[in-house]
Amino acid sequence: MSHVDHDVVIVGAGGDGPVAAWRLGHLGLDVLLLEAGPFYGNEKWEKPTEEPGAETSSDPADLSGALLDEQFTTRELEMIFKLIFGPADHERGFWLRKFPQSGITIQAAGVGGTTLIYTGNHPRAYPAAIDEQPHWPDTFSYEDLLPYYRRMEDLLDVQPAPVTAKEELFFQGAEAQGYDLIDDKNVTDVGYRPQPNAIRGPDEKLRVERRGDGQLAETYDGNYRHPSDPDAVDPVEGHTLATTEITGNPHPLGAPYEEKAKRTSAIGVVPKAMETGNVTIRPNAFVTDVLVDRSLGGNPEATGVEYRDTWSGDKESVSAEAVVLAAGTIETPRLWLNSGLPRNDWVGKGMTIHFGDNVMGFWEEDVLEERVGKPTADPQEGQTIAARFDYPGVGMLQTTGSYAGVAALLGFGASASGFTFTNDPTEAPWDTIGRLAGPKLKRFLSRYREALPVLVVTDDRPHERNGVSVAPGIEDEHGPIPQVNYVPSTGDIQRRDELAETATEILKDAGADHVHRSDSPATAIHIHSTMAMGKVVDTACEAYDVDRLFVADHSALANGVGGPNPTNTGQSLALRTAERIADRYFDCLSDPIGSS
Amino acid sequence: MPSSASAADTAEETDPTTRATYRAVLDAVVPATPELADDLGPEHEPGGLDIGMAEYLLAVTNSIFSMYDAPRFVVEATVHQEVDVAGKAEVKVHQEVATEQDPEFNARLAETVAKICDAAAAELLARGDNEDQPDPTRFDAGGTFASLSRPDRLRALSLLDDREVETTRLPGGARESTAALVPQLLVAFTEGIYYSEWEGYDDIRQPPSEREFGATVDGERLQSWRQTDFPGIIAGSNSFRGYWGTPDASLGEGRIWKAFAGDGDGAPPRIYYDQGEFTDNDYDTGGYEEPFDTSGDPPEDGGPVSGEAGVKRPEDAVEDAREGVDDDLLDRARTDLLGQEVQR
Repeated sequence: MSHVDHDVVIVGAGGDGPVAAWRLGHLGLDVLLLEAGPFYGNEKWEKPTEEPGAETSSDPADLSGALLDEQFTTRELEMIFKLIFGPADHERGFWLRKFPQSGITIQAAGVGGTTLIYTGNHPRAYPAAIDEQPHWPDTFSYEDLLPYYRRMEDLLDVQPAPVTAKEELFFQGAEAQGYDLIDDKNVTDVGYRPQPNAIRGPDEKLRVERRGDGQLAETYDGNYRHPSDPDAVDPVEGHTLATTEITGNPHPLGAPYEEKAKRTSAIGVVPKAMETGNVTIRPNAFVTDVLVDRSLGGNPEATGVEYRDTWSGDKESVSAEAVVLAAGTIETPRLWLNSGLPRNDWVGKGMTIHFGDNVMGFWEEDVLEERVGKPTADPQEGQTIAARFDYPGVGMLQTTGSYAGVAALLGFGASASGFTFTNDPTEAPWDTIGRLAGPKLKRFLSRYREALPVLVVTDDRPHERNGVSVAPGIEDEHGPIPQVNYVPSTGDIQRRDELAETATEILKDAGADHVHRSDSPATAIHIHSTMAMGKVVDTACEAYDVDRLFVADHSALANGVGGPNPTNTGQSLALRTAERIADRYFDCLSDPIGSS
Repeated sequence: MPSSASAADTAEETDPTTRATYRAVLDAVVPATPELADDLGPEHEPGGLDIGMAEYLLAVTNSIFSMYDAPRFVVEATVHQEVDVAGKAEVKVHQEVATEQDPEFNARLAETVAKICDAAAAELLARGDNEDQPDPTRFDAGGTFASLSRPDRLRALSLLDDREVETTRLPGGARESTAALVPQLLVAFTEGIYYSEWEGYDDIRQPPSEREFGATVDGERLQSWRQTDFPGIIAGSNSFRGYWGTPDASLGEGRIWKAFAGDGDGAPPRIYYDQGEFTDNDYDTGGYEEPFDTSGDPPEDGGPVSGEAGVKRPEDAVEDAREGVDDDLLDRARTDLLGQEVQR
C-alpha cells in the first residue's frame, strides 16, 4: 500500500469518538480525530466562533480552563445558539435537518459533541433491554459491556448525585407512592435513586446547615471559584450547584481544564486521548465522503475520508488503515448514504429517540416550607438532573433543574397537542396539558422557583420506518441533508403515557397542587440505533458491507438501551470497539479491558 | 446569532407588515398584563414589547438555519386568499411573497412565517371563530394577523398545529417545512428568549467576545428575571443537603442530615452527610415482562405524530383545519385565556 496518513481516522469528536481515540492512542496507534464543530477551551482557537484559528491540536498543554470560562458563559440564550449543531461561525445558523412536524433534533457541535450540553447522567443500560428485548444479536450480551462500563465510570468519576431541595421533594413523592430506593448499578426492578452522574460531587463548604429545630442556614460566603484561581474567595472544588449543565457548565470557574466538575467527553476523555501522544484533533472539519477501495473483489475497503473546512470551504482528504464513524446517530447514516456505500436496508433505520415528554409540578410556598424547609424548590440549584425513577420495560423519569428560559421552553413552549385551551384534561391525572401562552404563561412562570419539571424518557422501540434518509436535491454545503422520520408505535405511546401518569402521581404525592403535562412534540434528545449492531454492523461494530469501516457512536446501539441516558453505554461500546479494531487490524491489543 | 450588520440589513429589508406581525406575535405570547400586577405585584405588568424584543425574534427567524454556499434560491410563500366575512370584515391576503435569498448565509424565513400567520388569521375569521372584532389599527402597517385581538391571535396559531404546508422552496427543488413548526417556533422561541438573559445585552448581535452583558438595565434587574424571581446567572449555590440513602442500602453513609418516616416497603430513607456508593450487583433478567404492546404498529388513527403524511398546499391545510373544528375550543380558550367562566 502506498503512503497512508494515519492508522485510524475517526469522524466525530462527540461523546463517543474521543473514547475510541483515547483507547486506540493508548495502544500506540496514530489517530486523527475529525470534528465538524469548533474546539472550545483550546489556546489554538481563542475565538473559536469568530475566526478560523489553527488547524489541529494534539498537545494537552493547549487546553485552557480560563478560555473555557470565557467561552462558556452559562447564559442560556447565548450558549444554546453557540452549541446547538451548526458551524462554528457565530453568524451562521444551525445545520438543518428535516424532522416530522414540529419536532427537532437536539445535538451539539464541537469537541465534546452533545456531552457539552448533556446533564452528566451515566446510568448503565437496563440489562433486560439488551438480554431480553429482541434487538441485539444473540452473540452479544449486557455482560460484554460490564468491564467497559467499569472503566468508563472510573475514568469519569461517576458517582451518586447530591441532594438539594428539588431532589428531596421528588424522593419524598416517590417514597409516598410506595416505591423503594434502588442502590444497584444493574437495574432490573422499578424504583427510584439518585442519578449516577459523571459529575464530581459538591464541596463540603456548600452544605446547608440544618439546625436542631429544622431551620436551615446557608453560611457559605465565597465566590465558588477553584483553589487554583488567585481571585478565589473561600475556594471550592467539584460541582458548585448551579444548574448549568445544559449551558456548558465550566464550573468551578478558575479551575484548570481537567478539573471542571462536569465530565464531558471534552473534559474527561479528550485530555487523556491527547496525553497518549498519538491523537491529533482537527475541528471545523465536516466529513462529506468515506473513501473506499473497490478493486479488491468482495466488500469494498475503507481507505480514508474527505472533509470540508467549515470556515474556508476547502476540501481535503486523508487516508487511514481503518475508518471509524462517530458522527452521531443522524450524521453517521447520512454520511454512509451520501458516500454511495453499498446498500444495506437498515442503514439509517430503526431510530429510537426516547420519545420524551415533560411533566411539571407546582407547589404552594407553605407546602414547600413544610417539606423542604424553605418556600422554594429552586430549579436553578443543584446538579441539573440528579434524581431518577427507573421502570425497566417502560423507561425512566428524571427531575430537571434549569434556568427560567429553558424551563419555559421545555414546560410550555412546545406541544404536540396544541395550546392548553384546545385540550380538555378533565379525565386526565394532570391539571393542564399543552402549549401555554399569554397571561396564564406569565402566571405559571411567576412560580418558576416553586416548580419542578420531570422529564419523561420512554423506552421506545426500533421500528424500520423511523430513521434518517437523504433525498437528492435537498442539500446543504455538505450534500443531501438528513431527513428524519419518527412515528411511535402504540406500545411507545402507552409507555410514555404510563410514565407521564407515574410522574404526575409522584409530584402530587410530593405535595404539588398543580401538574402540567407538555405533551412535547417528538423531539430527539437521546438518539440511537440507526446503524444497529446485528443489522448494519457486527458485534465488533465493523460494517457488514464495508471492511475496515467501524461505527463508534450511539447509532450502533441496537435499541434505546431501555430508556436510561445512553452516554455511558455509547461510550463503553466505543471503548470496546476500539479494542476490536486494534485486535482485528493492527494486532496490538495489549492488556484488554474485556474479552473478545 | 446574526451580526450587527446582517441584522440591520434584515430589519431594513423587512417589510413593515412582517414586522408588525412579529410585534403582534410577541404581544400575544408574552403580553403586558396589568391584571397580574394587582395580584402579583407591579413587576408582573410589562410584556415582551416593553423590552423591544420583536425585531430580535425576526432576526432569529432569518438566521436560525445555515445555508452557506447554497445555490441562489427564492423563499416563497404561496398564500393567497380573499375572504369576505359577512358583516365582520373583509380580509385580503393577496401578496405573494418571494424573497430572493442571499446564498452566502442563512435561510430567510421571516416573511414566509408572517404570511402563514396571516393565512391562519384569515381562516379564523372565515370560520367566524374570532371572539373579537379585528381591528386593523392595532399595529402600524399590520396585516390580518396583527388585526386580531391577543386571544384570537393564539387561536389563529393553534389552527396551524399539526397541519403540513409547503412554505418554502429551498435549494435544488421543493423543501417542505411544516406549518406546525410555525406556532412552535413563534411560541417556544418567544417564550424561551423572553425568559432568558436576552434583555441584558447591550447589543446581542456583537460577536460573543465583544458582547457586553449585565444583569440589570437602568439599575433594575432584567424584567423577566423579576417576573420569575430567577436570581440571575449564578456561579454556584449554597444548597447542598447530603446524599439520599437508607440503613439497608449502599447509598448514603455517616451522619444523618434529615430522617424520614418512609412509605415504601424498604427501610425509611434519610439524607446522609456522606455519599456511599452504588452496588455492582448480580442481576437476573429471567423475570422480565413486557408491560405494553410490542407489535411496533402505530395507532390506527396515526397517533400524535402522523409522520410522512403527504405534503399539502396551504389550501388543503385550511380545509383540514375546517374539518378539525373542536366545538369546545372557544369555550376553553375563553376560560383559559380570559379567565371567564363559560356555561356549558
